[in-house]
Amino acid sequence: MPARFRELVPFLLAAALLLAVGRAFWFPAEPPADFVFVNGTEPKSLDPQLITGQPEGRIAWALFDRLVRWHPETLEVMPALAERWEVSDDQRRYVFHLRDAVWSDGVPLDAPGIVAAWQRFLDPATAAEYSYQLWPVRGARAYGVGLVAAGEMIEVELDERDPQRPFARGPLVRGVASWVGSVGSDGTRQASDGPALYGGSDEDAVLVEVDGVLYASPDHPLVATGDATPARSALPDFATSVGIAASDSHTLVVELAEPTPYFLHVCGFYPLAPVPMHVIEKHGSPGWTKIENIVCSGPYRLQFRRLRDRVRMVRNETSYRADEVSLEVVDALAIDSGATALAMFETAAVDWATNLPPFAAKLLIEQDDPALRLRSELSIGFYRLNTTRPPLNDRRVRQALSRALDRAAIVKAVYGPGQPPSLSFVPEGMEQATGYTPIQTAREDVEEAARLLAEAGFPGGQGFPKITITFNADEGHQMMAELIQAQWKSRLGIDVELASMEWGAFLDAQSRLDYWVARAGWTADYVDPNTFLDMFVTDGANNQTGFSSPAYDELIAEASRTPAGEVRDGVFAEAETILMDELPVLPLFMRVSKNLVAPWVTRFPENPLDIHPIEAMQVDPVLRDQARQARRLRGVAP
Amino acid sequence: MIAFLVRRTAWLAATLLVVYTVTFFLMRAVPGGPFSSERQPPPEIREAIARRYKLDLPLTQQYVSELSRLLRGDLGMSFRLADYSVGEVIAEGWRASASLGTVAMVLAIVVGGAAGVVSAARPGGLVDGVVRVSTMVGISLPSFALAGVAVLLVVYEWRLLPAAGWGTLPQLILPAGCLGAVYAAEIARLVRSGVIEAMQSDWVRTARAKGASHRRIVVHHAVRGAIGPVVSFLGPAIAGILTGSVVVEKVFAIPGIGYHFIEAATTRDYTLAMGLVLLYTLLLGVAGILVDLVQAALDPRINLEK
Repeated sequence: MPARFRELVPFLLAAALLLAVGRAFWFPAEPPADFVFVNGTEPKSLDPQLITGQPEGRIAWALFDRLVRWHPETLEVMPALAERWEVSDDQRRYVFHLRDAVWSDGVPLDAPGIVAAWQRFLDPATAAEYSYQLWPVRGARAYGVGLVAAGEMIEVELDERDPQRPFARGPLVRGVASWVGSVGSDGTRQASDGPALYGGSDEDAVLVEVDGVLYASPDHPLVATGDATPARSALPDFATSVGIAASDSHTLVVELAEPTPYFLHVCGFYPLAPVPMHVIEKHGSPGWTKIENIVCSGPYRLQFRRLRDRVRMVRNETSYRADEVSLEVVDALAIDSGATALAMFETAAVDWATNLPPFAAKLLIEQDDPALRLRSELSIGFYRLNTTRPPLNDRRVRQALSRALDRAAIVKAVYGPGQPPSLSFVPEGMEQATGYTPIQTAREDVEEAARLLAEAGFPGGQGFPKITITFNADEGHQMMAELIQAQWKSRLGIDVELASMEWGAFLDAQSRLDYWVARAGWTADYVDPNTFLDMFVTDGANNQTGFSSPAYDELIAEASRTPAGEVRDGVFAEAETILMDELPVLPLFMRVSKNLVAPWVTRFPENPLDIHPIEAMQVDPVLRDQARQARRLRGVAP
Repeated sequence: MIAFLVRRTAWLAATLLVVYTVTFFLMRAVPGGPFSSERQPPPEIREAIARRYKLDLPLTQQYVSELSRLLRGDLGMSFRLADYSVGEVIAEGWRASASLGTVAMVLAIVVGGAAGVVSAARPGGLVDGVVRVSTMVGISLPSFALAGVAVLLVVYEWRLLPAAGWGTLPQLILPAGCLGAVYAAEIARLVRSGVIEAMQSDWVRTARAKGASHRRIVVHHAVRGAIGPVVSFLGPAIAGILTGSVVVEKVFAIPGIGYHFIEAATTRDYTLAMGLVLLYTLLLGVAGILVDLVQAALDPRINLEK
């Protein structure tokens, strides 16, 4: 290497460094938002059909309108896209009359569009986690599962694409399936025994025949040889088998399989928000959620999204609700760390913080900080007991574990005052919301607990095997487990170990019933006792305790057939009585939502589902600017 | 030099494949999956999701199809950040991580280098004592503790800088300082020992014999001896700093790549985690090659062909 060049090398490196620094200091300037809040973790998606979490929900509520909406405070069902509706006497037929609403690109949001959006929601290829929310609709479950059988009406989607709408479904062939089964490499046909899932390219791939034409997955060998027609999917026929239809551009008719009293409420839940099929068919998924493509229907529309930074929303002028919106530009910050959220709130950088660290919440409760809004949620903190493992398979043991606990003292020590203990699995707030009175399990009674344990064969805890309380790594969960461990030791004489696990492994262990006692929580999906009680039917996906009671299953099934009212509440009460006697779960406390709200937020709607519609919020700008001035940073502007 | 580049690139490619394979099977061996949730949907929906994302196929089949997609230059879609491809996630996070990393690195080189030289000029003196204690503290103090103290003092106590966030210059200062401090300490230590060692060398003795001033000897002759170890350290350090710092990014809510690392692992975002591991390996490999090239350019005693 020439010596002269060698002399230059340090200067070249320095120049590169300077350039990099110049680049590092360059930031695009954004005007500040009218309202900034800490939204927690980065939303999984903006597609309302594909999300389940609370941070995702806060965005979806603002961007996408539903058929009905919930009153911001009382959660009563109110008109939204549907101006009014009629329900048949047997509560199985709903007719929704739609208003003249448009998407933010001006395209009408009409009934056929909603049918297509809900079809996408149910389609197994969409793989929407919350799609079971629509399963009360007649035929929806079968369509969503996607099994087809010979002799049934099916729809076959051909493998043809429209260049104008490359992501639209292909042309449909509808007809009765004359044959469903697989074709071996030697050409022998093997009919399926029962309903089967269409698709695949190997030996066991399922093909269908309609009107003498054989349809197979596009990558199936028979397609290459010309013996079968390529088809992307074969599903039960939506138009005839699923109870969702548009009778005209402004009327949506929905037929249910069972009278489901909470169905109307569910229609206001964000996964059921119609999505813009005209945009999805053009840009596909997730292409349609990109800033240059997305169109919205809610009181807000998307202005930009920066990953792990913020989602900026602006008032959607095309919404019929635009006049009700007072905050023009809103930033939802993706901030995971509770300590960081608190620091930003304390320095007036945000107006609302959602995810407080437990230690800070406890401190603020004790200081009686007026910015902290506490509100009982329809949410329960509890322990699951693995009823398949001795000695927890003995009901008396489970009852003893429950009756030995001083819940009030434990909960207060962990979360401070304001987080009430619970003796029922359905949280008490349900009574005010629906009229259903939750059934409580037996109160604390140490002597009775010891007697039950002795009766089960463990007097004074003698011979009781070592069991473990499992929880996901978290300060609060750890402390609660320690307190419970201490009470069981001193009051029952049994030894319990504690095991803290990483979140994914913890969920996995719970669903595989690989635990003794596991911490858990559940928040209502909709305002009805069913959202808590149907968890514990035999083999329910969220049962995860091994609990199985035919009487209980029958009661939950009966409730789903019964129209809302005292009779149905009685059925639920009977079910909860069984649950609170058998105790596959130990209810511990009612969860309380904790929001930090700045004093200049003059309207902050609250309800027991911890949903705070941004469009209903109001801010006093004078007060806010004064406060920001007072807390202004000395060094530089925030 | 061509032969050197070819050889090193081949090694890097082999390393990437091994890292990819090991990470792939390790990730899938961990319990849970990208769709684990406290709210389990009914089993039929879980199966539909598994089919949709091809998680129901045998592991070897998944490996082959993922690898062939990767070889076509596609890192796939993120599971957890469903609206983004892994490439898009990296591209977005890169901007913040690179900005933060550059400023932190410049701070580290300037502050650390100066401290090292000053302390080596009079070993055992007062300045040297201060520098040695603070580098020890800087190296051993975990960055979350440093960041915590910095937030308490600068944000809460003195109200000088914003607490967190991204998008303005003041928001960059505190995290860059916290991130750079650790590297500054390391650089100061390397420079100090490099200079002190060079002070014993023959060429410095010659310079001194010719009557050069102490100042000229330190600045002009001895510092060169410290450049080699610092450049070697900077290679992996730059790779690390560019892929972001987990703690600093979390505490200061910076939308960089670092925090994705942890999130991708804990949420079992297979594709994103794989993409990030590959990126880190690649950066580390490239930085290693660059370091060797720069060393050769700076030091006539180094020959790449050997």
